[in-house]
Amino acid sequence: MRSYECAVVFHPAVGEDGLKTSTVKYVDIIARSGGEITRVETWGKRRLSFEIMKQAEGTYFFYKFRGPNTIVDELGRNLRIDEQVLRHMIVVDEQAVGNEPKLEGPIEPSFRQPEREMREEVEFRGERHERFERHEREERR
Amino acid sequence: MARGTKGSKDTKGKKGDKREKREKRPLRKKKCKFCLDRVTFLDYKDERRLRRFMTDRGKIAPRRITGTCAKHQRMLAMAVKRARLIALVPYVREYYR
Repeated sequence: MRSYECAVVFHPAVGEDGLKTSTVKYVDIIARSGGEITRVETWGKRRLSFEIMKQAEGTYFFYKFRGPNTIVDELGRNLRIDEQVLRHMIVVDEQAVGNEPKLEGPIEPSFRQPEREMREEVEFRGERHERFERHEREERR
Repeated sequence: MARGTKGSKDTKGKKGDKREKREKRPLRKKKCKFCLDRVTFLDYKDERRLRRFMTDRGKIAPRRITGTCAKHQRMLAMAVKRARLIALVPYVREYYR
């Protein structure tokens, strides 16, 4: 048993319903392979740093789960086939040392909390402030 | 012409003296920002933080510039590479403003 995190970048054309069915599909694959999902997170549609399949945007989803290592292959295989997925990545979740509670109730993706970033912005106000601002302006475009 | 070379020699000598003095002044040692924060895990999703340790072209900034310690630089490299994989952060940026 190990904790994993799977990041998926969906095609921007995939609507809300499509995202929901996909999420259900992948959660089901995890469950069938003997794993349990601990957290589903989404960032919504976001600008990509570079184009993937001629797309400049993508919808980010993060699935945290734990289970046997056979899941990684099975989930990865399915993600590779899926044409709605631009990119995916499955990594060992080093942050969760197996103490995350099991997700209960319906699988509702939660949005990212920007608290951490706010704190850092204040912290680094100084030598690198300029670069930070430039980066922000880019994102808004 | 001879005068010219003499003059430049003189100024060079003076400049050299100044430079030597400057070299003697001890540089303020940079502290690893991650160590100050007591970071034990660097998340690849923390894009803004990663960007602060990258050049405008998208390269990972060297330790001699950022002052990051070896341990944290390794963690940083790993996180940046993961972030690149899912297009949070660029591999290269040819044009930037």
